[in-house]
Order: sequence, then structure tokens, then C-alpha cells
Amino acid sequence: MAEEDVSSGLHSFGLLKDEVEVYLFLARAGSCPVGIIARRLSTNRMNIYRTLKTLGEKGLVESTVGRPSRFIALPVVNYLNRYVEESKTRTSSLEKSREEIVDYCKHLQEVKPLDEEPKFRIVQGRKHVHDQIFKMLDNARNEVALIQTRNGLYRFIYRGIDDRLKELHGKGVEVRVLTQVDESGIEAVKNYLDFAQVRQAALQSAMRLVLVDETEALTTFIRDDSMSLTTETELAMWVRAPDYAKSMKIFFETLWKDGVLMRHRIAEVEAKQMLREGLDWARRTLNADGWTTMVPGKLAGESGAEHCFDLVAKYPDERKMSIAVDSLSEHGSSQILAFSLKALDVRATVQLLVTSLPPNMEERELALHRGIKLISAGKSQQLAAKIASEANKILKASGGASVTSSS
Amino acid sequence: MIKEGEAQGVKPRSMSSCKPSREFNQLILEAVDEGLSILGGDPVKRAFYYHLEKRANIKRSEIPDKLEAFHDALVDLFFDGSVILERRISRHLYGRLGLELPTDNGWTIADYVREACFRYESP
Repeated sequence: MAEEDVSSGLHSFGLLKDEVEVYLFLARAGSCPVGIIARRLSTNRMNIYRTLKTLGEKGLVESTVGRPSRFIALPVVNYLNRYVEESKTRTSSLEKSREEIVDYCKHLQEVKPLDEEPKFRIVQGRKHVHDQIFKMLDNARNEVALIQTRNGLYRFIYRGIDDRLKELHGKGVEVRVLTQVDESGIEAVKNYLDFAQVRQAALQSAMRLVLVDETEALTTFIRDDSMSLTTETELAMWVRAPDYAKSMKIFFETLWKDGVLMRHRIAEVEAKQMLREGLDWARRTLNADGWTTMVPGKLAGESGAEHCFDLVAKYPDERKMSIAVDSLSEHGSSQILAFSLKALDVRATVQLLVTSLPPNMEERELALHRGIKLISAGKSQQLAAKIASEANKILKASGGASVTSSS
Repeated sequence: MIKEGEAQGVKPRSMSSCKPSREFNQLILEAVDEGLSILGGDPVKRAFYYHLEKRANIKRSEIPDKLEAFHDALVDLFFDGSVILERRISRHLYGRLGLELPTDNGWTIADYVREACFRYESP
């Protein structure tokens, strides 16, 4: 090892430049008085005394008794070993302090999140948007609120975001979802009902929202609602600003308040599905009995207006008998009023109103007054049988007919 | 809104309590159109006016002048359901006039319109 490297090495072990020079000189020269050391190193005696004093404190030199005093270099290994041990102790202490400082700063961030500077970021591409949502969900402590389309709910399932929401629900985080689904979206929604409160809302705008703890909000605007998980047209704005997030929360709560409980919506959709199946059965049964049917169908009214019904059946002979069928999906006298007016206008021989729910007193009286028969929807084939039965009655009442197969 | 110090009376106004302006009558017709929208679209509205004229001999433009007969025609067409329509039409009328709809006192459409006329047309 060259002397330059040794000098550099000793510097690394905490020795000053003068200390290194004096020590190496003494190590080479052996026992020396201060005067000689000063002359050989071209410096004054005071500097050498000062340096010898610090070297002595470090255990690297010692003086001999006599006049003049002489100084001698001690083996460096003890100093180096001691220095390494002290460094290790210092490193260990630093590590401990580091952990304590990190913990303390984390605590500061947890208890004072509102002091954070507002931040925002534009996120482009569906994959990145989903990644951002995952990050947001990592921070969720109390609640997550979503506004999402039907396809969006499916995409969340494909990307595993629903699983993350489920985990959060398991940890006590409240998850709420506002969406707008038709029959085709019911299956997706059912998946969310296990861990979230879901409501149906009339979403007028194309905006979607992810809101976490009144702290973070991510808003996106639907430019591509396809099932693609990688489209680059998706554009979102992520904001971490409590004031902004609170405003979004108010917006969400307004929609939430007017939202329909999803289990009611599902019941309504399933009732409609069953009704459609029932009307389809009825159509086939009436066709077999010689009726001409349309589902849905139109009949021209006396006023000249053309009215639409869920099912229209006409008997193709000179008696010009017709059946008009509509469905009452929920309580609402206005639907009966509308049906009664349409039926009055088209002069249907039989006016049937199929109800998914038991009609209330007001609805029954109104129907009775206008000569409307109320039929409970029930199962598909039962509904078909009831409609066919009413058709048979008028055929028989008008002198019988070519009834062939009604059940 | 309601004029200061004026209570919402349960008793309807008399026939002679107000002389409606042409503008007021136009607002009545618009309110009827809006109220009928609860029944559906244009075909239902067309059927309504057709049967109103056929059964009660009231043309659309005559409704403001034949409010009592209009009420009878609604009852004829919709039985108890007429209450829903009359209240809805009244709500639209009061809304257009910036008035608060009186509580449901069992009034007919004619009562509601006369009350509105009194409040709106009175100087």
C-alpha cells in the first residue's frame, strides 16, 4: 500500500492532516524530540506540541521521560479497532433513531392529513386510472363512495377492484355504490350487494366518481364505456384536497338520497322480465287460439292518436274484437289513468292491466270504474292462462268462435 | 309568493271574486298541458282533448271559461283519479305564477284557479 493511500485511509479513520504527517513521521523515525519533528516537517514547535497532544489523547503516541522529552509512535491497530467499534455503535444508534423518526413522521401524517397541501393529477389511460383507484383504496379508513356505470362495475370486477372493496368492507370501511343499470346489469350489481350498499340513480351526466374518506376524489368522464381495460381514451382527474372531496361528497349524497334501493330495483327488473315472459307465453297461446298478436303493439284510437300497449290482440273476423294489455310496474294511479284513457280511445273489447304488486284501494276503484280488469302478474304461464281465459270469455260471449287450444 | 298577512283560506273564492286576464287564461292552458304530461306523451294528450270535447263539449281553448264543467269532465273520465290530475294542473299553474299551492282542502280545479286568479290579478 502506498503512503498516499495510508494517509488517505487514516483520514477516513478520523485523523487530521497534521496528525497523519506527525504520526507517520514518528512511525518511520522512531523516538524523536519535538524540535527535530518540527524541523523535519517544516513547521513550528507549537503546532507539533498541539498535534502530539491530540495524538496522545487518541492513544497513537506517547512521550518518554527525560530532557528533552521524546515522542514515540504506538501501534495503530488499537486506535483503528477502537474507531471501528465506535463507528458500529454510532451506526446502530443512527438506525434506532431513524426508525423512531420515521414512526413519528408517520404519526404526524395520520393525525394531521388536513394540513396537506392540495394535490391533483391528470391520469390518462384506463389501466392507470384503475391503478390510481387501487392507491386511493389503500388509503381508505372510513368510507368509499362510487358512481359508476354498468360496464364500469363489470370492469372493476375484471380488474379485481371489487375484491379490494370487499376487503375494505371486511375491515369496517363503508362502501356505497350509485349506478344505473337495466336488466343486463343486474348480475354485475348482485356481486356488489355482498359488501356494498347499492342504489339506482338517474345519472344525467356521464361523470363517474371515486371518493375516499372525504379526502381524495377521482372523477372521470365517459368517453369510452367499452369493456376494454387498456383504452387510452379514459381521462381522469385525481384530487387530494379535503375541500374538493367534501364538495364531491355533497354531490354524491344528493344523488344517494334520491336513489332507489337496489334490491327494489332488482325486484322491479325481475318482475318485468317475468312479465315479458308471461306476455310472450300469452302471445303464443292467443296465436294458437286464432288471435293476431303484437308484443308490444299499437292500436289506433277514435281520436286519431295511435296508442302503444304491452300486448295487443285482435280477432280477425267481422266482430273486430281486440284486447289491450298494459302492465303496472309500481303503484301509481297515473299509470291507470293513462291506460284507461288509451283504452277508452281505442275501444278495446277487453282492457287488462297486469300488476306486479297487489293494487291498492284507489287503483282497484279506478279500474272498476273504467271497466279495466286487473290481473296479478304471477308466474309466466299463469299470466298467459289468465289472459287467454279473458280472451275466451269474450269469444264465447260474442257467439263462440274458432277457439282451438286455449288452456 | 303569498301576499303578506293573507291566510290560506279553506273556503274557496266565489265566482265573481276575480276577472282573469287573457295572459292568465293562457297560463291555465299551459298548466293543463303540463299536468297531462303525467299520463304520457302526445297521443294520450290528443285522446284527452278529443274525449273532453266529445263527452263534455269543451274545447281546449274553452277550459278557462268552463272550469266547473272541466272538473265534471275529469271526474267522468277518471273517476276519483281526477283529484290527482286537478292537483297536478294546479301545482303547475301556481308554479308559473310564483304562488304557493294551498294545502289540499278538497278543492276542485275551479277553486284552485279562482284562488290563483284572485291572488295574481288583484292589484
